[in-house]
Amino acid sequence: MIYFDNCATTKPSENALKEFNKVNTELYGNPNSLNLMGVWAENYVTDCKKSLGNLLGVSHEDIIFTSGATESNNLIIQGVANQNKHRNPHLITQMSEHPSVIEVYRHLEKEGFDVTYLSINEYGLIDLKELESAIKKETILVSIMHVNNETGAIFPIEEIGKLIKATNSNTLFHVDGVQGFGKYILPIKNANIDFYSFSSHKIMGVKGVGGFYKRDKVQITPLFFGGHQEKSLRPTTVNVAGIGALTVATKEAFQNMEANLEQATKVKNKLLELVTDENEIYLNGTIENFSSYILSLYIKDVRGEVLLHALELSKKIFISTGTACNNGNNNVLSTYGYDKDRLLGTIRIGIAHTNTIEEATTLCEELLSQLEMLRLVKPNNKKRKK
Amino acid sequence: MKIEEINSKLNDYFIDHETQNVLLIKYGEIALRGGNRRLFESKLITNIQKNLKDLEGEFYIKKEQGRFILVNLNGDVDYDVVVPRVSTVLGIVAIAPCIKTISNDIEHIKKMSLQVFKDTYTGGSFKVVTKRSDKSYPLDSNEISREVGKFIFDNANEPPIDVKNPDMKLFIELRTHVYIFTKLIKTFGGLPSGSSGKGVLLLSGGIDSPVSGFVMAKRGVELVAVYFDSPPYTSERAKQKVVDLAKRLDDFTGTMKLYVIPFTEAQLHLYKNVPEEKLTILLKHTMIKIATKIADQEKAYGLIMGDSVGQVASQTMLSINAVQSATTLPIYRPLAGMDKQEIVDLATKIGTFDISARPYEDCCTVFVPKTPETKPKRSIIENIARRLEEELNPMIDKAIENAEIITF
Repeated sequence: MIYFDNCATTKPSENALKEFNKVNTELYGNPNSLNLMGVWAENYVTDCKKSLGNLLGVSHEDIIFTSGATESNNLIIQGVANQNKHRNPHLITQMSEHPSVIEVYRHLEKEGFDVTYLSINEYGLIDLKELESAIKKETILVSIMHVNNETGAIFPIEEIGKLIKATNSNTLFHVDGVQGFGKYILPIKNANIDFYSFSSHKIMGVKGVGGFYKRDKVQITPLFFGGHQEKSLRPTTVNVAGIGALTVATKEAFQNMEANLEQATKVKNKLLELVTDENEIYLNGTIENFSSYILSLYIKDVRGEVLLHALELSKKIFISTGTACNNGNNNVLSTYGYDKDRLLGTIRIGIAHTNTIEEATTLCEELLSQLEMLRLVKPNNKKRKK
Repeated sequence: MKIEEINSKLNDYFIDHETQNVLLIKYGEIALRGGNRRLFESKLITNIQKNLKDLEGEFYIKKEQGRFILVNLNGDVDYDVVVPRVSTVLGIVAIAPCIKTISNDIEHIKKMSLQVFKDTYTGGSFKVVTKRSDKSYPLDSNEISREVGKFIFDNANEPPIDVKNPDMKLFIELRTHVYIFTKLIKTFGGLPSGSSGKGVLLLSGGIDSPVSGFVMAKRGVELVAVYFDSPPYTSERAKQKVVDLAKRLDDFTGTMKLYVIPFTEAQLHLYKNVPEEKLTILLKHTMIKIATKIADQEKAYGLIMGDSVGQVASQTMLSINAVQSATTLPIYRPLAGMDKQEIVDLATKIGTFDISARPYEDCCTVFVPKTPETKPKRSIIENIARRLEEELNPMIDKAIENAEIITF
């Protein structure tokens, strides 16, 4: 089995699982209980926050745990919007955000909030001048992702942060960090970030846990009510074991960041050999300023989903598509100006440092050999050669 | 166990259980079937028992003059669980959650009737309806109704009695035992599955084909379903959808079998050798050929398809005529004259719509031509089919040989 869908989720690391097990065996108390078991659990969670704070370069008191990035993004965006409702606020995001961000903005827009969506250029990035002119006196929040989940485009977060604060010092800056967390250094303080969300299962932690950084003193309205956990922002019994696994996985990711990146880059470079005019395989985006962990390819005259199934059936190679078959809607790729054929013909390869060059070679070989068969059937609406 | 044995076992059992919740099951048409009646009744009993086999409890079905009484030998029948399972069985016209009591003493009947009334009354007028097969009973039907009605009136805050147009009827049936119920739930009716022989259903993941299977099953046809799987052009999830549809149909029928035919090779062969605009018709032609071979294997005497005339290019009268040469068996198309909305309504009613509506679209649509022919000539289709036969037949045989057979 070859797993190349690491942007969707990853296999938990051995140490993360060990920690998960250990906490569930020995530290299963409720951190909010008055008894000693509760105290031990609470201390453990505080230690985890300290470790994460150190790695991210922020105070551990500013870290809030949630069920994952979707919840973090919802809590941040809705929390800021609702907190400032009475001021008739303006909000900004960009078109290629993850659904857990852009769908929240679309929801807020329906509720009557004023939202600006920045467009994406051919490099998968926003135009900073457009951002600057979009920021108004009433602009309360800007959400820009660190690394795009479909294509791997890396946004210049530090530059964006500086620009936002220089234009309006009251505007808050939210970064969805999921695809960059533990993979690329992002100095949160220097980049003027007020909110930074992350997830555990994308970096070999377990599913169902994540969190965010919230700059001290920024007030937001919670989504849930019913307890005082996580400063009343997230009232539910704390997922102690999940937090433990997240912390271990994060430590591993940060400690090995350079080596991991080097390995991912090697694998990506091997896969990039597929991109030739002769193969009629094209890169979505560019090589520069794109993450080494994500590769989005347009395969001409093949449906991405058909190729996906062909690879899993022949060699148990698991990849992802840009979009589901026949459903030409892809929020991200369509913002790049690609046509429907390109959206349907796109596959996404999610790379982890655990992937090897041999795996990449197998994928390349198998993909090319499948293509020969699959291209006999041209996707519909195309004239066949007689 | 034979029905006689069950009945004698039940009689012993009833002595210990004075009053309990049972399910009264009314069946319609099979009562008219003269000589075949016993056979039909036992088919129906088998089909009901099949739907209950994984439930807790020991269920027995007692025959009682044109109806069944379902009892749980371990106590009461849990209606929340049992009603949905029994109400899908074809051949049953109505069911009623019902109190069964052994003593036919009129005072006892009054008390039990009051209890049933209080449990189910939701306001409005009422009336008592009595049927009596025990003609030696001291009171006649009208007298029983009047006595019980008065007792309820006096003891349940005087609810209005209306014998002409009541909001609620309380039924009392005096047979070997006494049955009291108020709520008669209408079910699908039809004939017990399997009482009319077997048919092969061409089942896709769409809305129409499961409905066509249901409609034929309602006429007593036992279904053998065939699904054409074309990986990598169709996905595992699309297949799962079809398996779930077959499983739902199985709730209505006695037994259900699903053939998953590996179709990719034949499909590609057709793609390469057939003019684009005729591809869909020839794919269909081939599928009917395969279904016919399975019908031979299964001793089935007809094919069932979900065509609705004029819905898509391959469902025009001319297209339907053009595929006919693929088989000598009759093809039943029970939806032929139905509108899409009628089909959707029926699919919703039988619980297949939500499964069909799952968003896993087949990439098989890569084979769908942009401008498919709507007026194919039968003779041309037959000619192409004949020309392909030599190469296609071995592929068809291989596909049937390698079919995955799923039973429920």
